[in-house]
Formats: sequence, C-alpha cells, structure tokens
Amino acid sequence: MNKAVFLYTFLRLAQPATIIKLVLFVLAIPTALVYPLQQASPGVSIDLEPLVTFFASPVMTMVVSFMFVSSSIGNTKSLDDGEYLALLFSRPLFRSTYVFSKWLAGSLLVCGVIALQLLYFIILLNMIGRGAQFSIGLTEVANLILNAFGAAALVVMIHAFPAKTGVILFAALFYLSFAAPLMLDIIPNYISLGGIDFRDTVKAGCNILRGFMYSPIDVDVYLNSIKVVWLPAISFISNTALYLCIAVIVMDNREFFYSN
Amino acid sequence: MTEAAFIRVENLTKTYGFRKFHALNDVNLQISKGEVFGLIGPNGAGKTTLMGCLLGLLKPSFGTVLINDKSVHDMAVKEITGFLPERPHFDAWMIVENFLHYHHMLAKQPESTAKEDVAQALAEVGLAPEVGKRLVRKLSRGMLQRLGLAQLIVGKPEICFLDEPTSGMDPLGMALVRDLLLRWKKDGKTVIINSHHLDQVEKVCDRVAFIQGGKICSLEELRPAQQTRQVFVIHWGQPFPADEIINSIVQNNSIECELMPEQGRFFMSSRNQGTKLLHDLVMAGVSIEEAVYERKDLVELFRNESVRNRENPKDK
Repeated sequence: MNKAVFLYTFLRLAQPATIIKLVLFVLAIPTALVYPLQQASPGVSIDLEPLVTFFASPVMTMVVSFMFVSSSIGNTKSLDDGEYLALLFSRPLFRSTYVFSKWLAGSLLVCGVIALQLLYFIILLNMIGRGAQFSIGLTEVANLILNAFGAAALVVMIHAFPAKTGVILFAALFYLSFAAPLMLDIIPNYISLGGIDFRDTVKAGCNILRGFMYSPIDVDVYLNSIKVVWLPAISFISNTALYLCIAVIVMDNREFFYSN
Repeated sequence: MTEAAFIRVENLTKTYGFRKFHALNDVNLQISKGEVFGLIGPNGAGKTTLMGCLLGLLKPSFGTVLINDKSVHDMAVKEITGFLPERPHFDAWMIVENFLHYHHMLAKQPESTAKEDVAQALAEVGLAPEVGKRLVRKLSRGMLQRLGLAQLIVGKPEICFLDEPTSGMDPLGMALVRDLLLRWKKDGKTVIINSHHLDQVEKVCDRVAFIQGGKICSLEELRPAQQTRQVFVIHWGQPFPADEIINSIVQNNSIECELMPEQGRFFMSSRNQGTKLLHDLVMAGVSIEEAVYERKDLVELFRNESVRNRENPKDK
C-alpha cells in the first residue's frame, strides 16, 4: 500500500461540497426512519432488526460507494485525468500499488460513512427512548465491511478505465444487468429460437452480467443456516478479485501522456 | 560516449492507431550523466512522445530505452526521476503545501524532512511562503508552472525531464528557470528539456537534437561561444583597404579569410584571435566601420533543418 495515495484519497473526500452532501445524506435517512417510530405508541414493541440489516445492506454500500466515495477514488478531476496521472506515474509507484491503495482507502471510507449514519441513528433512537431495542451484531458489522470492500473494488475497476470509457462501460453493464430484464417483461413473448424462449435466454444472459455487477455477501447465512450455499460466497470473493485484477491490468496497459 | 551513456535509446519506434502513424521512427540516442540535453523541432515532430517513452509513460512499439542500464519502469530509475509536464493541470482543490507534501511522499523522501523540503522548494521557485497556504486553483498560470517546478524539486531528482518549462511564465520566471537549469547543470544533474525557446535552450544545453517527422535529423553540440569556430565579419570604412595589407595581417595571424571589396570574412578558432586581428588592422591604418561575429545559432539550425526536410522528405 502507498501511504501517499491512501491519504490523498481520504483528503479528497474532505471537500466542502462533498462534505455538505455527505452530512445531508448521513442525517436524512436515519431521521426519516426515526420519525414513524416516534409516532408509534411508546408501549408498542417494534422489531428494529430490518433497520439494522438495511444500514449494513449491500444496497447501502453500493449507494455510498457510487454517490460519495467514487469521486474520491477517481484518479483526478474530469478531463485532466491523463495529464495528472502522467505526473503520478513518473514517481516510484507501481500501478498495482496505486489500485490497491485506492481500494483500501475507498472501502474504509464507505465503512466510515455508514458507521456515522448508524451512530446518528442510535443517538436518535435513544432520544425517543427506543435505544434498548436496537443492537448491532458482529454479523452486521462483517456484512458492512465485506460489502464495502466489494463495492469499492467495483468503483476502483470503473475508474481504472479512461474517464469516458469507464462511464460508458458502467452504464452499459448497469443497463444490461438491471434495466434490460425489466424492459423485456413488457415485450410480448413471440420470438423463439428453435424452441428456446428468446426472452428467457436474454434474461439469463442479463442475470450472469448482474452477477458480475452485483454480488453481495450475507455472513448471517453462513453462520446460522443449516445448509450452507457456498456459491454466493465464491461469487463474492471471485468478483472482488476479478474487479481488482481488471483494474490492475487496465492500469498497467494504459499509456499516460497528454493525448489521453 | 557509448561507455558513459547514462540514457540509452536504441531503435525506438512508436506508432499510434490502426494506421500505425509513426510518432517516432527508429530513434537512436545517448545522453551522458550530467548532460543538459535539448529536444527541439516543430510541433508534432515527436519530441513529447520521445519524452513520454523516456519517462516510461508511453510504451515503445519497438526498441529499447535504458536509464543507467535499467528499464525505465524500474523503481530505482523512477526514484531518481523528476518530471515537469507542459500543462500544469494539478489538483485544483489541494492546498499548495499539501500538494508538495503529497509529491514529497510519492517520491519516497523521508517524512522528517518534508516540511523544510517543501519550504525550500517554494523558495527555490520564487513562490512566497504565503502562497503555500493557498489553493492550487487560486494560482495564476505562471505560478502553476513554478509549482510544477517545485513538485519536481521536492523529489530531489538526479534526472529532470522538463516539457516546455517556461510556458506561461513572465520574463522573471524565464530567468528563474534558466538560473535553476544552470545550477542543476553545475550540480551534475542530467536534464532533458523540450522547449520552443531556442535562445534558452542555447544558453543552458550541452547538446540539442533536432527532431522532425519522428526522427532525429541533427544532433548539435553547443559549446560556449568563446570555444566555437566562428566567422568574424569586418565591414571596411572608406577608403577600402588594399588586399595586400589584409593578406599580410591574415598570414601573420594564421587566419583563413574571404575578401570582398566592402567586407572581409575571417574564420577563427577562438574569439581571442579576433581581438588580435582588430588590433593589427587598426595599427595598419585600416578604417573599420563595423565588426561582428557571425555565429551559427539554433534558430538558423531550426530554419535550415525544417527547410531541408520539407524539400527532401525522403531523407526522413
């Protein structure tokens, strides 16, 4: 890990505009969740387990990664990308070290933002007298950390590509993974490929892509289930490793000078 | 030269795109340690591409680039390398001191000396300590160029790659760059400079390569004016002197010359000869209207090479 790149990634998040957005985000969701709890009668017991799961969920780590940490993990601002990286890689810095430093810093930033949000939520719950009903287990913490590492790896991979290519690639993958299957549902099913349902075939392809784009892990399943399904865990680990490998390969093969 | 070559470029070819546009075409070059080497040539000649290959930022299509007998990708080479890009597009959101501290860390300099190294770098490039507290985005173009030089200095490099170092600078900035280059030269740093300011290149460089069409068309050694073979042009005043008088003085001074009715062109190995020649001519009662040194300078080289390449494109 390169200390300079690691600290730079943290420092980059500390920009006034990003901080304002982050504060609003950290405050908004817990406040919105606490409001209906406050309206409920104090005697009524409410199951807060789903809320804990919500904060540590892969969706939340993805949102934080893409909405806030992405700009910090990104190489540099807008189109000056190539130029600044040229200066960076004229220094004694392996490109793989650069990728891993960004990943590590990004993962910790995601965990930090969600931890802040959880802390604020606990404070609010205590204020309305429901703090005792809320507890965070090690499972949730493990889920948060692991999913943060997965989401940050995806963001690092996207940023390893040249600025425009990365965005186009991500938009295309996102569309094929999530939007395309939904659109297929509204198309009448009259095309068949030699007896094979066209819509199902395309959907299967989209699902494979979705597996590549989004493969969260739920530690709870491996701790408490009688029959453990290992495929999601393998998928999570291999995807994270694949994102980082692609990022390193792309970085290693990119040329950095004025033209890019 | 071969044994002492610190930077060695062999058969370097760089092509771009599907059409295989040759940005560099079979370039061979050797640069000694402590040498200040200039790259000159018209826009699009391949100077920047050559610098990119020397820095290991662009991958050669063919050929090799070695620095101190090591690959340019070797971390030992990167640790002694400093680079000033032409366009100073640095992180606009950073505070100047933080930016320099970041590059100090990237260059693997000891953390204990960071503060003083940053302050010293700012001072060396003529930026006041208060500028260190400002945001990079608040700096003018000239100040950004100085900041670029400062980030190079904090890394304490032995090899400096400068791409248009005076771009956007005022005359004071230009003088500062020239003084820095002369100091680095004295300190034994190897400097590769790509510049369109030929007078500046001429003042600081030991050698220059004229690049056009991706090839090194000419490699010139720039020696101090005092040591260079020069042409002393003397315009006679009225009445014009007799050829016999001039020939006799020339023979006494062992100088070759071309005599014309209004002027004489004297070919000398040093400027000391010129002083003696003038003295002898005046003592012989020759009336002198004007006496000037005609030196082949880089502008002339630039012009001649450009014309030659335009007229004989097959030479490329």
